[in-house]
Amino acid sequence: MTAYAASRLGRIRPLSRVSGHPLGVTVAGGTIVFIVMVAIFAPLLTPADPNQASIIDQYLSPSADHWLGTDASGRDLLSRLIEGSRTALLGPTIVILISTPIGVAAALLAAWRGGWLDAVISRVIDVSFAFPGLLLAIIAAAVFSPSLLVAAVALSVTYTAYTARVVRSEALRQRSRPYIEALWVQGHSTLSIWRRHLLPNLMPLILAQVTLSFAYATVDIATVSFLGLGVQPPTADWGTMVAEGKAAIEEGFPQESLYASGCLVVLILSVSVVGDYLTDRAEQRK
Amino acid sequence: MSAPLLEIEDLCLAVPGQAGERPLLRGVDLVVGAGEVVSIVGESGSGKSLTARAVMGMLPDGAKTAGSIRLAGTSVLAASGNELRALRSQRVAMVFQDPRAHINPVRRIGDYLTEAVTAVGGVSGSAARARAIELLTATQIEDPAGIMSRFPHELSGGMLQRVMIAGALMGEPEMLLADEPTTALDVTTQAEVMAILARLRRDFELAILFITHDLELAAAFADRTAVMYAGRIVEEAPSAVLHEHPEHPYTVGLLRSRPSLGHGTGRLEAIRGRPIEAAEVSGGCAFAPRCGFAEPRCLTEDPRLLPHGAGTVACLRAGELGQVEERSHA
Repeated sequence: MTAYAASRLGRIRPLSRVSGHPLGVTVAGGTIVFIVMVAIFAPLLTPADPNQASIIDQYLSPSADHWLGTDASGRDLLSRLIEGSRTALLGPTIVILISTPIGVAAALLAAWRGGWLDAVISRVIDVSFAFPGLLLAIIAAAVFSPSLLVAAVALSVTYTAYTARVVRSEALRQRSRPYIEALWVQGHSTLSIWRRHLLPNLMPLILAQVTLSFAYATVDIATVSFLGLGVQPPTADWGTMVAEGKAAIEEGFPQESLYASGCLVVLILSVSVVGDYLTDRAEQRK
Repeated sequence: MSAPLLEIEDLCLAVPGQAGERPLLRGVDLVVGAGEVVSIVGESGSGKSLTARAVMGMLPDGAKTAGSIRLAGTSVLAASGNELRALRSQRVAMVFQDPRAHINPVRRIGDYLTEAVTAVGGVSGSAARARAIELLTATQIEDPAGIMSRFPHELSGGMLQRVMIAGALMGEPEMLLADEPTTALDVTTQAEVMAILARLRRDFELAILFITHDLELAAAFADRTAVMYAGRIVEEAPSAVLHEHPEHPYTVGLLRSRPSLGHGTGRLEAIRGRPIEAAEVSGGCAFAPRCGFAEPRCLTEDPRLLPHGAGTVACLRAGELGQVEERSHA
């Protein structure tokens, strides 16, 4: 399966064929890679300590010392943006890591066993849809203490439902295909069929779903942080920076909110473009 | 005859329908000995594929069964999941009509072949590979080693059917169920595939249950041929006997409705009416409404499959056919 997965991933984004994809997708993919690299190497890239406050440096304009200026506490905005890329990526990553395995497992069980188990899982999915992810995150922040992890875990409930619903319908379709029947006849066990055949065949769809979920989860996490219920100050985060820059807007210094929301828009747009592209390809395969 | 490898006794199968149970098989009796080739011939919906599937333990959802299927000493209908898996991986294999639909399109041929024994039988990867190439060679496919790394869409239907046959033999089964393996192929490929099956049968001493709607093909390939109608076997005999001296009016009709070079260019005779489903049989002989020899008792009395001559036949008037005049088609 690993060899298979590798070839599949390779077909989706082989470096040698980047030019074969639409230009927008190539640019979006490049942007994502760039943001991920920035997040990984953030401590090496920040020109100043992102949490170093200095009251006399409040609201400085861009200069050689502070390329993007400073915020209300005199902290270097560029450093905070670079540092903020880490939480911006970490939150959705947690959501994906939780929601994808659980969602896929629930979907396969429901599609395979059918009957009452399918009914129960499908109803649980429906009920999960009734609660917006944001509401769950706010409730979780109220019950536990507000933090990135609590928000991400709470949002995972909704994203698990999304993934499970999409994967279940495709798994049902695959299940009725003759090649699966032929595998039964060869004496394969259910787990062997799942691992070697069903999951690889579902992989393009799962990958597309993961990408789209990542984009939506980025928005949700940033929103929760904006509300003050996610990432907690003084940790730099794009969502909290938008909120912190709010007061400055009235004083004529909109940079902080603008930069942070700009970064969010670029990240979300890039992930969405790639996600749409992967979804199209997954659907073409049907 | 050697000890029976497969013994189907009075197999009945019904699925839940809109109005209660819908019977699909109405008491199938069939015996296949070790190394023997038996054909089941019948029209669409007569239950021939269903019988083969039942032998593999693959029943439709919610199916109710009666009777028994004994395969290599195991009662299929009573077997647990593990017993069925052992049976499928070691004793019996199946070849389907449409190889393209029955092979995972995104896996390589080599994976398809070797997985059948590495995942189930615990055979090592290199041993499985060697066996796969050996079997591909036996199916006379060109460049067996090269085929291993190809994808199904790169192969023609005939090649894929050979691959599927090779895959079926990976587990060294004693019996092969072939469900219309040549129906989807063109005539020349069909002849090649049949020749391969005949050779493999000899080389591996395979028993084959061959499902087809082609009576001529069945008679040419199989030791014995069974004719199915509306969920029951109506006649069964050594192939040559069945072909030359059919006893059941339905078999007679099937043979007559086939174009043949020897019979001139006269009009072909179709069997009157349409094939009925097992669920529509109300009592009496299922074929009676279409039969040119039917008597009043045929409509009320259900004929049983009884020994007659060299085979068995389920007809109340078995043996009289040569002497009585068939009613003309009104």
